[in-house]
Amino acid sequence: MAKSYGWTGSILWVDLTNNRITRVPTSDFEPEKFIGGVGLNTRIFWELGSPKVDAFHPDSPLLISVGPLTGASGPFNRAEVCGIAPQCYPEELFAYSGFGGKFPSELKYAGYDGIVILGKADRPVYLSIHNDDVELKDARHLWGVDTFETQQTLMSSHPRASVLTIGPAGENLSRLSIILNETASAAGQGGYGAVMGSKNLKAIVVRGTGSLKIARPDDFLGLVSDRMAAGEWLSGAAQSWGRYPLCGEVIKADMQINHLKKFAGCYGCPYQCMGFYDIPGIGKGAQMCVEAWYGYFTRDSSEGYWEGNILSQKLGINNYELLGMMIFLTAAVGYGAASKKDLGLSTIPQIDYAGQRQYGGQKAHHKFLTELLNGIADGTSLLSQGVGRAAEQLGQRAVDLYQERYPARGYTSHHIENVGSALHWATDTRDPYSSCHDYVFTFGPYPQIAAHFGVPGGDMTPGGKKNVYERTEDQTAWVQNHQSLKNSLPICEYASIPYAFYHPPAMDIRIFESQVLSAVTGIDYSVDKLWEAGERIWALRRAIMVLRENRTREDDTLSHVWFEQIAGGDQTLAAPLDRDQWEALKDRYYGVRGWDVSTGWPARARLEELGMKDVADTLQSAGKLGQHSRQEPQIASAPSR
Amino acid sequence: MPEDRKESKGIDRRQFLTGAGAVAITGAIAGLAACSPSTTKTEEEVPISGVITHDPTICSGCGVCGLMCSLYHEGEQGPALARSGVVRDPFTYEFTFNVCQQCRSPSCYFACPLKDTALCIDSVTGARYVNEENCTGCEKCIEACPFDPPRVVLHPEKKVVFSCNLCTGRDKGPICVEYCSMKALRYVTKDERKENGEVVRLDREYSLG
Repeated sequence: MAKSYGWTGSILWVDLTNNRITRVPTSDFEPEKFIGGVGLNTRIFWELGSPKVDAFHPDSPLLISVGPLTGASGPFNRAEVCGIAPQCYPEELFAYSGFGGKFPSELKYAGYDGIVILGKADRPVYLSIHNDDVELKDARHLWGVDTFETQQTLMSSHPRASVLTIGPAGENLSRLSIILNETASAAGQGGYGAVMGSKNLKAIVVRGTGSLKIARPDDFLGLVSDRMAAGEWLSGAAQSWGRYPLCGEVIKADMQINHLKKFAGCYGCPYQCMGFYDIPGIGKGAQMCVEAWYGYFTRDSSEGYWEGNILSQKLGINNYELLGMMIFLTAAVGYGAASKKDLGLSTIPQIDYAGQRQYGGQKAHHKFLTELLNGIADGTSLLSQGVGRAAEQLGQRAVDLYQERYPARGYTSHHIENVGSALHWATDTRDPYSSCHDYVFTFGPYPQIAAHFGVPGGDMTPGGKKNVYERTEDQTAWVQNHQSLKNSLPICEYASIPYAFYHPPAMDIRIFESQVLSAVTGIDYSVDKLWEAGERIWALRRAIMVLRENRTREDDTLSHVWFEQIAGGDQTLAAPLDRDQWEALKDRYYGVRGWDVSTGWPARARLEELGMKDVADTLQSAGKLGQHSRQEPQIASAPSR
Repeated sequence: MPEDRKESKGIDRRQFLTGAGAVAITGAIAGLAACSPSTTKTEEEVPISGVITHDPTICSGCGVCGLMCSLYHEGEQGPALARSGVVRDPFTYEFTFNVCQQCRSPSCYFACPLKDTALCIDSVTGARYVNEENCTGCEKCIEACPFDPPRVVLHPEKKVVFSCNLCTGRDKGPICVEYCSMKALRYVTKDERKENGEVVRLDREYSLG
């Protein structure tokens, strides 16, 4: 494909083993159908044969793609990492993780839609990209260096470049390791830092001096100015969230009054949803949401909270997983399922200083954080392999605690507050809540908005939370399709929740997304064509799950605890899931998807309608093509709980 | 060598296979017709100009300014095609904003061999700007610019120079100012500039909190 609007037309193909760098046309992977980001990565992974290798095998590909909107002014500066995710448990699965910062746009301006990384370098290297000049360079001097210093070192030798890097956690193959850009933009969930580490790839440096070609600039400008005129875009409208750390009121006030230096955010985005904070002696950095993970456990110590964030970012550890781990280890030690010694800790402040102000203060927090996070980063702690794998080592009582907090595939509970979210979790390969807040911020609380989109809603109105199964398959399918699009266009989760900045019917997120994509690419995407692409991407992911990971209907579930009690901490369902209604819901979900109801395998008819005959053929050769589909949805007769 | 110059010279033509997109917003430069060059001015005769000011204490470095600038003037988005832009340091969150300072005594103007034909001074806003149609790309204005990096830049594809023209002719004024979500940018008109002297800064009314 010649260089075109939206897409650059070129993917970098990096073979670390043989130090060979080539370029592959993006058109080889049908970008019009798979858009970019997760969609493009998924298609590439499929074309690579969905390799059945371990995450740390040299043939395990690390895929980093931007989308056609990346580089445009708006909440589009995102890239998606895909590959075999070491964090998934008990088995490694093909998953995804996105990030913002500056790197994604810089990659687009350098002329690339994505990077495919295969093989393993024989010594630590970094990938240097300066427009057409791409080479692997020695990174031995950076091995062991933290993420902030690595970036600053490389930015001094590559002026105005943006750097994507791993920290010691990734080098030492922690399954909780991240890939970081700037101070707080990370591909967090999935453990992809360790995939980079396994390949001896310390960092990717990119500097691009090109541009994003926009097919219909007047249309694009009109869409942007409409958002602005509505007071919803390019107006700093969203500055009210990230500048308040998501933890206790005392820390929130202290951070905002005494330590907030600037509003902050990703390149090219008007929202600037983050805050940039500085506590002398601890460090500077941005924070938006989960960076506040330790703030829940410090009892009003801002210093403890902030050190938790800065240290984990520098070492390159997944903050969201740390949040779940804290709950687990406090319970495990508190209930005697594990000892501090088992976990390599000499103190756990919230246990050892339970009665004290700030749980012993900064000194105690510093000791704990240093032991915990260094243990994870250098691989000496059981917890560096994730809570699920650690619990196996610790014994049955720890496994029980794990199952109470971890609904599926090794990811800590996150917003499973309605049945639709539960079904989404059950049919994904990771915690999907990086990009599906549509449930909790739109459809759950606002039934009238849900009705506009033709999906059920209103199951999470204030004081009226209830488990609804009827037509929930439609809600989940809608959100999954939208999620696939968000992660492929790409558009930031925060700026694409259907009711946050787009007030239907005056502005419908589907119309906005299809119009922006059309304006940038010059290809006319109707809402239907766009939504079909979302379904296509989801279906191809399903085909990979089935082909590579032997996914079947039985695997589409949550930990047994979610069927027995109200689980998940402060983000819970109204009641435990009802097994009969759950299985009936799955019947209907496979029906809506056009998948085989008994196996959950995709069937030929819908795959062909989605333009993926080749996928149907491959599944058939593997004996994993669904036999029937299009079962008429059976609306459950039982009343909603 | 200043960074922007390195950038523009090091660029690869492949980056700019622009097709029709490059000049799609032709209306953007229609305002330039308002310029009616007169005879070459002496230093005393050069009128004062408006200018865009930047408050680094509240800028978050998002770079929307440069992207909107390149969209409006070039029909593409990329900081290398912007007449203004923020240099981002994500570890200190300190940002510099590089835009033509519309000097009281414009060295670029006096250096231009085709002054009032290529490098012009707008009679309404006072903007020192480049009429791309007449520019030969000799780069004398770039050499003359007292700032580092120079605020006049060679377009890597067109081989003519470009610089901020204060979006002269645009009803809503400079587009970067309009779309700055932090309100860190401000357009100071030539009349305001006369009253307040050369250096104009935002006060703290838009600051944090």
